[in-house]
Amino acid sequence: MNEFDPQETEAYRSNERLTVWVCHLMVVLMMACVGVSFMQVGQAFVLNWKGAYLPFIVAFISLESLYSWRTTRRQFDLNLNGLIYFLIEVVVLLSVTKIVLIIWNGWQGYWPDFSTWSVNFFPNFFDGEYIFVILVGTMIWFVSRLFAMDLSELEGDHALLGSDILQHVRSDRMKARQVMISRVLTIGLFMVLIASLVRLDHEALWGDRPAPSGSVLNVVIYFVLALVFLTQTHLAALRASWAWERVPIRYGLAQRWWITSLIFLGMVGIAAFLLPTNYSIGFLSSLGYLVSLTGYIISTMVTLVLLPIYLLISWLISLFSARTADSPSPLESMPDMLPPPGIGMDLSWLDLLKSLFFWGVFSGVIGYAFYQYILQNKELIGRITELPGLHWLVNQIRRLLNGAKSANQKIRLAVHKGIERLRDRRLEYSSTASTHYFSLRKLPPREKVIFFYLAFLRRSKESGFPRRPSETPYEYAASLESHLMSRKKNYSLSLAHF
Amino acid sequence: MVEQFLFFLIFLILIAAVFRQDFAFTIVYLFAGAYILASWWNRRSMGSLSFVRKFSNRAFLNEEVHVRLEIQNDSLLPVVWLRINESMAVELSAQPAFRRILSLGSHDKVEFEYILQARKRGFYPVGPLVASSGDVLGILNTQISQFAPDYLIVYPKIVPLTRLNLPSRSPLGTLRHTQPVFEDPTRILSKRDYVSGDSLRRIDWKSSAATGRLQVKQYEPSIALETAIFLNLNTKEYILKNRHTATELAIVIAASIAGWVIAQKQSVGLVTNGVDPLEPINGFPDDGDTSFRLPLPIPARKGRSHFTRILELLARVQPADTLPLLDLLQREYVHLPWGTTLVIISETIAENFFDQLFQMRRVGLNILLVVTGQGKQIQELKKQAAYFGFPLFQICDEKDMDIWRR
Repeated sequence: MNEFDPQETEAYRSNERLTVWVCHLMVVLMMACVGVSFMQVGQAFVLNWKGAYLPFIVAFISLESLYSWRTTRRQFDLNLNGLIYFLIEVVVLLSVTKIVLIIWNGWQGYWPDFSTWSVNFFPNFFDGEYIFVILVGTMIWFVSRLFAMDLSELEGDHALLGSDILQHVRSDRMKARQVMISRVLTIGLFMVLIASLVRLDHEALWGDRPAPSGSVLNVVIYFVLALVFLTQTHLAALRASWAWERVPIRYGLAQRWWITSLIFLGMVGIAAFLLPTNYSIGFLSSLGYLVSLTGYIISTMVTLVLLPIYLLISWLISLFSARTADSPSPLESMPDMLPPPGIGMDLSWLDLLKSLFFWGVFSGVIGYAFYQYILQNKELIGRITELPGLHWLVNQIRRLLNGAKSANQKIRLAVHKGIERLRDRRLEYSSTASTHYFSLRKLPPREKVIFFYLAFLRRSKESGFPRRPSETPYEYAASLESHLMSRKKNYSLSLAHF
Repeated sequence: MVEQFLFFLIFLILIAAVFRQDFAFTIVYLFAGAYILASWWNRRSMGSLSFVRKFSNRAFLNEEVHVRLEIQNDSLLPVVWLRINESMAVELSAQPAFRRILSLGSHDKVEFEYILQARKRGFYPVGPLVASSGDVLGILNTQISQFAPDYLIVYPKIVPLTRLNLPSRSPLGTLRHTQPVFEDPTRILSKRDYVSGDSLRRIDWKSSAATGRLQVKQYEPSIALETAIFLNLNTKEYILKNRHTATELAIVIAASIAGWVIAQKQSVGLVTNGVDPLEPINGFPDDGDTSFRLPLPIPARKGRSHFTRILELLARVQPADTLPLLDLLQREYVHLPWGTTLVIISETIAENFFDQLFQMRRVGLNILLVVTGQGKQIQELKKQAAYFGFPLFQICDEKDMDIWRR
């Protein structure tokens, strides 16, 4: 292994760190732009849909996907199996998405729904909007994960610097870059397609009124960000070759690179956005006519080729269907309508138990998922709490928790003291009166006689006929007999005790 | 990457055509603008770069040479990345090149310094500096510029000599001599009483008047030493096995003798048949052969500056298959003044060479032979030299030069 100046290695690391940050940031922002496109789709389908939260959720999901890829790559940092961590991640993301939806749409609107979750969870929990957001989020999560996997190929300058030719260290950054370029452009085309459809929809609604240019701003921003992202991948690819040749690089190279790229491409983007495009309509109409003509010719040819096959298949189907046509299937009876779970309906104890069980399991799963997620990402949580805006809030929460903890300790101390006091009293009592149990059957006859005698004395005392200390057992028996004779009724009661 | 962009743009225009949406042209503008601006920027920023290399271009052996590189961006546009590759001679550095990746802001200037080790005499290029840069997107080819090299001269080793008895027959010099025939009337050694036979010209009248007896002046014999060093660097006249060490030793001997002569305030010149990279391809015009870069003979002169000139030639000169020593001598000795001492340095000397040397001595030149070779052949040479009366020194390594240091 060839030695490389540690300062030079640190310069490589510093530049790599910044490139990684910028690349990830660009991916998150690009995904947010994609989220805007999906929001436009949603708004095209459902008028007055308040979907402005979608880009933020999408950005969050993308960020989480990128981060969790880095976390799961470091398996030794995880205390869990990768699959379990993935499930936890899914639960956390679903929960966060639902919470954002609830907060965004107003929790009052969701309040009546909470009680229905325990009755019929899936249809009530996964409503239409939520499913749409989940679908978009899933797509974004996987795309971001693919980016994360490719971006990880762009790291590891240190390994290249420390490697020798004989060690077979390879870097496939150019290939990873090519893949990312294709992906970025494909997503861009998809966004252009969505924007075109949305604008077509707008034109269908409003006639000749042109669609606002702001509706494609997210597409332009996406491409500007994509180009900035590609500049960073180019730097990473160059860095690999420089590291391989062990050429020292300067600190701050990546910083100048990305700032210059952002300014330069931002200016180009603004200029491109402001330039007029109306004059191209004639060109597009002609081109569109050509394209549609070509499409018509192709479809006609395909129809001609497929027509005999279609006719053959239809003839074969008609042969088989002729037999079954005689016996029409009876109409299925309509299922009985189930009474909807009424709000505020009186619940039986079983329903209550079911509800309690559901909420227990539901909150347990979510709580466990959040707890494990935080536990596995302590470093991230620590860093987030160090952010200036959150620092104050975290301090307040921490103070509140400390207060609760100290109150809890005081209560526990008080309870403990009470228990101690009770225990002392019990010990005191047990020292004076032994309360041990024994089996009468196992006692010898003599002990049995003593037991019964003492029991008799105790019962007599409790019944109001105590034995005086000066009395002998015989004297006591005589006095008791005389008492019992005078109160026959009480005597029979005392006998019943024996 | 360009192909991917082209495919993308074609698809983009197709989508725009199908849906009749002109906003797609904004994306086309964006990509076209990025491409045009990147190529313009790249060319312009490379054109506005200037390089300055500062260093002492002469060095003695084992000296460290600090080379300072200044790279300036004279443009408003920043140079996002620039790779510089400064070539270095392997004799001067363990690394083949000085390489850096840097980034320059508008009107920014960056300085680097690296050290060269003058480990071997020679004439070395420092550079050329090759600068390459490209666009930030990586869609254009890398621009490469080359900046001319500078040169570093590393002088040969000079062994300080104290006693080098070079034969000379040039009278009236500054060097003492033992033979009275070279008495110098400007150097009065002593005075003595007049004896019969003394020349009247020698009588010192003032001291005779003062002492009352006739006194005559006694003069110190002195000679002038005009030396011409003939350095043989024709590779054919060296044994292949130790050609490199023998030629280098010959150069060290020539530099040391020249140094000694200059230190004695005498004049020295240099004639060699080695190749000088700075000389134009000229050779000897009368020979008709123009394939040699033979250096012009340096005539005998005095002084430190003249010595520097000799050292520079000795630093640059390289052994090559050029003119034989005998031919060189035959051509050059006619230009030498009477009494000049010829120091001939070679690995070995051919038998027929002594006839030529004898002729040269007859025309008043003094001959001193220095051979760097070994073996029986040298013993024979010694015998022949003794027979002809030419002093011959055998110097096989630098230690052997101690005979001139005692």
